Amino acid sequence: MVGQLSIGPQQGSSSGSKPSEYVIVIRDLYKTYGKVNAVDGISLRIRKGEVFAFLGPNGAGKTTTVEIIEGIRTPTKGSIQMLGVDIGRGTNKVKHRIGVLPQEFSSFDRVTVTETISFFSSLYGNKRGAKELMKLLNIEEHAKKQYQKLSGGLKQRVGIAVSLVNDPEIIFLDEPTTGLDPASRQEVWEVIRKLKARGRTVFLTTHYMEEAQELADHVAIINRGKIIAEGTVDELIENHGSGLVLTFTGIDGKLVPFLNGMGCGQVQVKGSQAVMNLKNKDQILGILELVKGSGLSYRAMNVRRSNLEEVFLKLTGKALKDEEGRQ
Amino acid sequence: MNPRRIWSVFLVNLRDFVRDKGGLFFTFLFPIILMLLFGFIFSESDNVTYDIYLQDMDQTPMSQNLTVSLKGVRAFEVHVVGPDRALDDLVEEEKAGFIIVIPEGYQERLEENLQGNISVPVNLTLHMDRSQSSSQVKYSILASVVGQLNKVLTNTTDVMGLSEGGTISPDDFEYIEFFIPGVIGLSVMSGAVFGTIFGDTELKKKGIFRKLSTTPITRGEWILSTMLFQLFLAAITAIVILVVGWIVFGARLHMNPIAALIIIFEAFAFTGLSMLVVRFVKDAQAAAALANAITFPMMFLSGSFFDVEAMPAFIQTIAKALPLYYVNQALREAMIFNDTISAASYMSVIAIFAVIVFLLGVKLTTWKQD
Ligand SMILES: Nc1ncnc2c1ncn2[C@@H]1O[C@H](COP(=O)(O)OP(=O)(O)O)[C@@H](O)[C@H]1O
Ligand SMILES: [Mg+2]
Repeated sequence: MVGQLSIGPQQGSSSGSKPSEYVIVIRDLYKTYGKVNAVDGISLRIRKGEVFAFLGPNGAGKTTTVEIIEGIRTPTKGSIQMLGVDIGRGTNKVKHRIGVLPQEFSSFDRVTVTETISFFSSLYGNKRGAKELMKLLNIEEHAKKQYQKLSGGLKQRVGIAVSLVNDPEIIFLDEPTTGLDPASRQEVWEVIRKLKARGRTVFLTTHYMEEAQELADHVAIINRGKIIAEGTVDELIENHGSGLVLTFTGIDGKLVPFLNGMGCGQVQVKGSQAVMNLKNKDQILGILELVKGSGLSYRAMNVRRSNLEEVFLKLTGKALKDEEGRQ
Repeated sequence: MNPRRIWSVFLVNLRDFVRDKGGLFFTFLFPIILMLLFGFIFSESDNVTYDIYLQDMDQTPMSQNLTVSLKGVRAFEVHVVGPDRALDDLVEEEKAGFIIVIPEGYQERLEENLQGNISVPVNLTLHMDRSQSSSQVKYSILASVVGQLNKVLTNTTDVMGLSEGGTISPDDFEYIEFFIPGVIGLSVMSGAVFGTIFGDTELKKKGIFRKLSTTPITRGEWILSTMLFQLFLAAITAIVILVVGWIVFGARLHMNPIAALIIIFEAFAFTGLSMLVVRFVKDAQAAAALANAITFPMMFLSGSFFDVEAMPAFIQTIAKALPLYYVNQALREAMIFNDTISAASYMSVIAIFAVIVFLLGVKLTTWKQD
């Protein structure tokens, strides 16, 4: 296995790690549906204990990839090793070591939270009590409610609880926060942080840039079945982002030509906003000084780092998120 | 096969089911309604009664006597009307189509006749609607009653008669007793088919199958558990039908181990069949279409309501290709005639069918996506 591992390309932050730390190694994975290459040559390594975010727009191939790893779908080509086991011949050997929350999962409507957790738990031979899990997910007060009566956020937390019944080493969460309100999303994020603190490996798919940025140690951006960038959040922004972003809001008509005249790069105008992408913080201080001296007016301004959204935009020429994703 | 996992699946299905009012209704109330409906329609036609109207203008002990005699005729439902009632009125308001009037002076003239000096017989006046086909039947019955009375009153002896030479069917049974095994067969089939197809489609939609495929439960365990759950519902359905049949219709059927075995194989066979075909179903609408496509033809062509023997030859041929036909035949042999050997031979077809679909199910059904 060690020999095989050294064949694959070294990617992102994983360089220099010992091969034994990888819990998932995917090499050259393909999945074709008719003419669609849902997964188009993916290679990936996930390290033990990291939160890995598979970030990409709808239809990028996230679910297809993750369900191949989970053994729900069979690949057209490629190999996967998980926890040292080649899963080409089925996932039976690792089933008791992984936990899965499928995309858009929902459980038996009229079965209560406790009963639901106990049911899935019993399939593994009861490794873990429902009480402890409900506490971890902060759903104890809903224990006796039927699944169908729960809010979307609670349902999703029950789904995560169910994926933890066998105390798995790797947890796969396919879009765990899609469609949730901001408060519920925070709750789910909190659970993922707890899992990381307990040394579990989390394989997360999402199309929310904030989610990857907030939680992930390791991000791979997928688009049309291909990984287009990979690394830590910092690395990705460093390598593919647009540095610092300076924004003026409520601008005076004359401010834009003035800023353009400074030769520090192109100014983009979005309604009453002027946005500049800059390389370093000294440039920003210089610009602010000049704007102050000019006496031109604006309502407010802010400076922030470039984000994954801009990384994606730069790499693909398209926006990553859909409107539903905005908070 | 891990019995604990099988039990867990059974339990979770049971919980989900018993808390679903709609599901309960369709599973248990539907067969009862079906039975009550058909039971009443058909068992009534076995002992038809005819409405006749009787107006007694004489009001004497002898006319009373005649009234009582007519009331005693099982085929007649006698409506006695008072002497003041106008006949036109009776026809108008009550739609009376057959009216017998005992004339005034009936007793007096009858006594005269009985004393030997018969000149003319005392006639009952009949008003009947000849356009009603039942009038002829009523007339015939009435004529034979009158004839019988004449004989009794004049003390003549019979030179010819009828005697019962034994019934034609081997065991005397009523339509409802024929019908109940049919209702059981039909209800167990539709329960298993609808329950399995709708249940599986729902679980697929919810992602529960995808989830289960990542847990240690095997397909064999899942299929067996679902079959057992459907069998449990089938058993309750059969018991409910039998109890209602017994209480409401006084149906007397044989309860024997072979009947129980037939129901077990039937539940397994149709659950297994449904699990095999449900993978072609994408949504609830398609599920309903498929479940109907399976159950509908069998409902009418397998002899659930009527004896297949009484149907045209080509329908009999079709029936013999349908699994429900063998269930119906087997259940009737067992429950009506208590004929274990005959029941077992029909049952063997459904048992083989059940084993085949189970094995095919384990082999072919999958939780996997493509
Ligand atoms: N079962 C399937 N049959 C045909 N096409 C599919 C199937 N599953 C996924 N696809 C296609 O593969 C692509 C990737 O889908 P998916 O993996 O679900 O993306 P994501 O999870 O990133 O939104 C999409 O174009 C989708 O239409
Ligand atoms: Mg997806």
